[in-house]
Amino acid sequence: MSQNMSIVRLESSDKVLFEVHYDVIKCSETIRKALQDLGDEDDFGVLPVPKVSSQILEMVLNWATYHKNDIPKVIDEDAEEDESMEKRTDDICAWDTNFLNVDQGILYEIILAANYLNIQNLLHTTYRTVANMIKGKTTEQIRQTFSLVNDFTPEEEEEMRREADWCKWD
Amino acid sequence: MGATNIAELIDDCLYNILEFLTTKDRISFAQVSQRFRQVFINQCGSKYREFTLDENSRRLELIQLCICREAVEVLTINLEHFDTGKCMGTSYRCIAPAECYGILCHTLSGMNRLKHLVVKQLKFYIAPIDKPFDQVLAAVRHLPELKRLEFQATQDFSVDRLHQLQNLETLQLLIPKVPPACLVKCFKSNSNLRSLHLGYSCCQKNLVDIIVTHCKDLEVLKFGMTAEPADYKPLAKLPKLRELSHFGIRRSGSFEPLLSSLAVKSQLKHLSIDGGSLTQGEVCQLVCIQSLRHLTCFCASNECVEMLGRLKNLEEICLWMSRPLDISHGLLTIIASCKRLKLLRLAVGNVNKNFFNDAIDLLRMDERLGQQPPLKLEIPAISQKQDISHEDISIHKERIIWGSVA
Repeated sequence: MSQNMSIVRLESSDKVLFEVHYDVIKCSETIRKALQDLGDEDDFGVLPVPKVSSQILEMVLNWATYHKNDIPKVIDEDAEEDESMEKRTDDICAWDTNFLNVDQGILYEIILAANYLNIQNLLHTTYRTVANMIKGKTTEQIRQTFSLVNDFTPEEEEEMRREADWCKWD
Repeated sequence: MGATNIAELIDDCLYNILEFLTTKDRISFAQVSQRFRQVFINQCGSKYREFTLDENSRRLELIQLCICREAVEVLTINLEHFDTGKCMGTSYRCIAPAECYGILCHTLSGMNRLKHLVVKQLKFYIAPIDKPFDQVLAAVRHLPELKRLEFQATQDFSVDRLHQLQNLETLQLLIPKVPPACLVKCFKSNSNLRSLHLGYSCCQKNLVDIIVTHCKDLEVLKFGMTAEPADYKPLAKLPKLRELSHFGIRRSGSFEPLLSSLAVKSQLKHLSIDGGSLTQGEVCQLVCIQSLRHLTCFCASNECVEMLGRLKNLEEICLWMSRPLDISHGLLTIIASCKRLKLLRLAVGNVNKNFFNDAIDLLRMDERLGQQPPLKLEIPAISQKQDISHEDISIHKERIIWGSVA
């Protein structure tokens, strides 16, 4: 990377301009690719991020700034681990827990932004956060937590109740 | 962009979230809404494409199977899962087998992609379920893809509802008894039946006539029964028969008329007579079936083995000797005259110590040494397996030794 590229300028969907150090935003696969494609010519150009609002982009950049010195974790597909086993969710650091302690709407926007910007570590942290909101809850509690409507027919519900009755332990 | 509800996340995000959940949480997730259920099925369904339900199957797994029923293509049901007599010493048992079997059958009726169903009862079993096969048959009768059905049991369960299926192409009934009338009805409604495998003597009366009359498309038949020579003979009339296997006890010489009729048509590719040494008369007829590619049989004499060499088109032959004779000469005759042979397996019998070298010399003279695929010889006692595809057989031996060390 040339010196000139150490500052990257991003424009959010609501046309707010952000200047950010390359080391901060390199966690975004999408931005990294875009910069590579641009090459050296467009040093002072602005990269539009049309799918992310300034509020969310600011949060994502805050997260990226805090984590900019993280050693990139090799996300191995769990060597030899049983595929049906769930992945850990208890390893979210305190800063991230606090960072993601936001309204659900914001959380989902962060997920979609992380997905668009392709920031794997942020994605995983948000997925774990949502998973923790589901864990240990009954179906009805999950619906309440996420304000979801039960759209099964009474027949389907009866069927599910029967399925759940399947052979019990002695 | 902008999402205020989890339901607005794209499927990809929901799949990833699922991965962080326990099985129990995943099931709760799948019961939240239609969309979540579909996400669960898309994510976990592939695990249930082929599934075996047995005594080790656990409740949560079975609930997931129910949810993913539409993904199931191959299902094996081991009735031991429902065996109430088997609880001793195990941490698990099915305490309401009849109810669970009902849930299973209801689930089965929704397995729209089911292609292949196996239901087994093999070990000692205390049956708490009334007519388990008929219950299953009633459940699957409308499934459009179900082409292959296998029932195996040591107990005498009814299969009276077999005729309710209509799309079967492969049927295996390894059960003690099938009433002839039941078979007739089944064959009439499953006119596309191409492969049939029946347990030994499970239907004695008129079996051959029933098959010949009603299974015009039958290509593969495997059966076993003791009958008069004339009773087997009509099988040769099956217009499309390619593979014929008989297993178990039969009367000496009883296949002579059948083999003679099969030789006239000469379309049979596979023949397996697993049990009962061929008589000289039978071998004389058998070697006229020039279409044969695969043969499995019992022989009692060197002359019979030698005669088999007349089957010029053989690709695989598997021999049992009913007496401890040295049949090296007979086998070499087969190797010399069956130029297309890929596998010669002697399951029971003896050869002399020069056999392999003689075989190599034979192939070398023929310029068949080194051909691909190589001729494979499987001979007991002297050496379990030998490929004589290489000019220098000792090199190959070393390779075998090296392979076993590594």
